[in-house]
Amino acid sequence: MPAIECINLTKRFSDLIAVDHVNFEVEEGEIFGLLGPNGAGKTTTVRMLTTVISPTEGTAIVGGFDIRKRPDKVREKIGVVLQKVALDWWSPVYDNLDTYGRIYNIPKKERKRKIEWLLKEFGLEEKRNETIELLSGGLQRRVQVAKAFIRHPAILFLDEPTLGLDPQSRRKTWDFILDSSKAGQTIVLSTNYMDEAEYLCDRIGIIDHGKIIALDTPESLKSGIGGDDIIEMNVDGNLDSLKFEISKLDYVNGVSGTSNLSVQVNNADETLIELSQYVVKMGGRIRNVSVRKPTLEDVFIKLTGRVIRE
Amino acid sequence: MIKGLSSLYYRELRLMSRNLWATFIPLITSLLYLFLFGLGIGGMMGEEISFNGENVDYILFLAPGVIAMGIISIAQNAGWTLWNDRDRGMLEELLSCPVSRSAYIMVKILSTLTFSFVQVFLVLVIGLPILKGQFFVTNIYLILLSTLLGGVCFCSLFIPFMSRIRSSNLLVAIVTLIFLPIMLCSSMFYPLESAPYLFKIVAYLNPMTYTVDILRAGLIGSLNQEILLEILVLFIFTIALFAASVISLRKVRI
Ligand SMILES: Nc1ncnc2c1ncn2[C@@H]1O[C@H](COP(=O)(O)OP(=O)(O)OP(=O)(O)O)[C@@H](O)[C@H]1O
Ligand SMILES: [Mg+2]
Repeated sequence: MPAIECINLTKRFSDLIAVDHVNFEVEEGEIFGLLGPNGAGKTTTVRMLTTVISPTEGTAIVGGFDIRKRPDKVREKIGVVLQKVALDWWSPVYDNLDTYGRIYNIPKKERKRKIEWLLKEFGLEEKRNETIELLSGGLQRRVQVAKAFIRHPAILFLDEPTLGLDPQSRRKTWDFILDSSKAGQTIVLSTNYMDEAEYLCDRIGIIDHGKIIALDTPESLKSGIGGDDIIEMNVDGNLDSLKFEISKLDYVNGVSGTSNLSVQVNNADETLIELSQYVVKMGGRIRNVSVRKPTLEDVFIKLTGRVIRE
Repeated sequence: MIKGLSSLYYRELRLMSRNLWATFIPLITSLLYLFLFGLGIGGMMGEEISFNGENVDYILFLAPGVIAMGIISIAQNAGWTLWNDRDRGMLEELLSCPVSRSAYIMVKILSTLTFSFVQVFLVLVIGLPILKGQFFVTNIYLILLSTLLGGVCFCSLFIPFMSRIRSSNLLVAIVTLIFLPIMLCSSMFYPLESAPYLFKIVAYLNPMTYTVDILRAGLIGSLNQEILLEILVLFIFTIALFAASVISLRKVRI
């Protein structure tokens, strides 16, 4: 049985369809990514799956229970890290973690031990008695993320968990996520950081305008865009006509880009020189060239014609 | 046991203890009202007012009104803590936790009641004796009952507003607006017997009237048939408003 099964999950806000008949499954023990630009519907999806708001249409089975029929049962199986910092503003760091532990009835001794451990792991030991209000935004985020690991729910939802964290805390959070996953936890992670999605997720659903437009492993998504290499060219000249001409070459699988050319090819070693000569012949002046591997960004551009984040 | 009730109540108490001024000031506001009224009106005119065919001291007539005003202010503060939880994202998080929606509301009500009872105690045991040199109360259980029902009733009244309106400016405006008729179209400051007909109708649609009447019966009156009926009506108001508040939290706008 999958850990999560969305069945035509839909949420309307008056005339806006924020989540549009979404169907996907998350396997037990999997790290599942929801990758999409701002306003794609990630948070709304997570809110429905965590029983905070109810769907306008469709439903989902989370941890074996229908979110509409048995939200109380679902709540016992899940944990959430919200996108927005959710803390008691005028309380100290320690109290915030403690309150969360109490709500889940974690026994006193274990609660204390876990809190000490989390304070240490997230570098919050010195701030334990500091009021949340006085912490920097990043430190507040750390408290928010740390809360989620005070217990080990069967399914953990993380809505852009590393937003506003410094690189070190980001790494730390990733480690925690991977460890929890190894310990058998199912994780749903929404993000608009490609590297995060790529590094952490077993499978990724790309969401745009409330619809899942692609769903696969990061590798399959990337290989789906045609070609193993991308040649990036910074070129002066008429880009549109260049793009048109290049796309006709038989060794070129695709061309995109707005301020430069991104050319998808199977093997850049074999085609780079030929391509450069062709661009020059067609009147382009090459300023610089680089070769890279495809990323999820390329997948998104290919699917939507837009970039995920500026 | 309602799921999450004790841990949420603990959280509420801890938040209050971290915020002592916000906890303390509403409690002494009622005392201040009483003293200002007492010194102002009492001192100026030494007026008496006709109540149940007898002449009673205006301050004694007014004290139940002051208590009721305290209850509704305390209820409003509890409502604001809900708005705050929503604004700070805490409500969203709590709604995904295994705590029931009614437990969350009950905690707001419990904190309203805690403060309301302390406030009743302050007015009756400290305020009035200082002003009058004597302890008054005819039926303490009527005072406790009215505080209980009034607390639940007014706390529930604010919850739908606090859980739906996002803008704090709009909310302040609306709360001020609803305060006005609740306080003035009631028996809080004057007896309703001589009030115009239309005013009476509005007053008897207002739970404040019943809250004050029952309090007043406890302080200077007695339990008669009329008061029994008022208790019943206030009870119905309270149940209805509580139900409305639970429903509104189900449809809360995160
Ligand atoms: N309560 C609401 N009322 C009306 N519209 C809403 C509400 N919540 C979300 N929306 C709209 O639904 C759409 C999806 O929002 P959502 O927050 O799910 O996006 P997201 O993918 O999480 O974006 P981000 O990356 O910015 O967090 C947006 O257009 C948003 O404006
Ligand atoms: Mg979001």
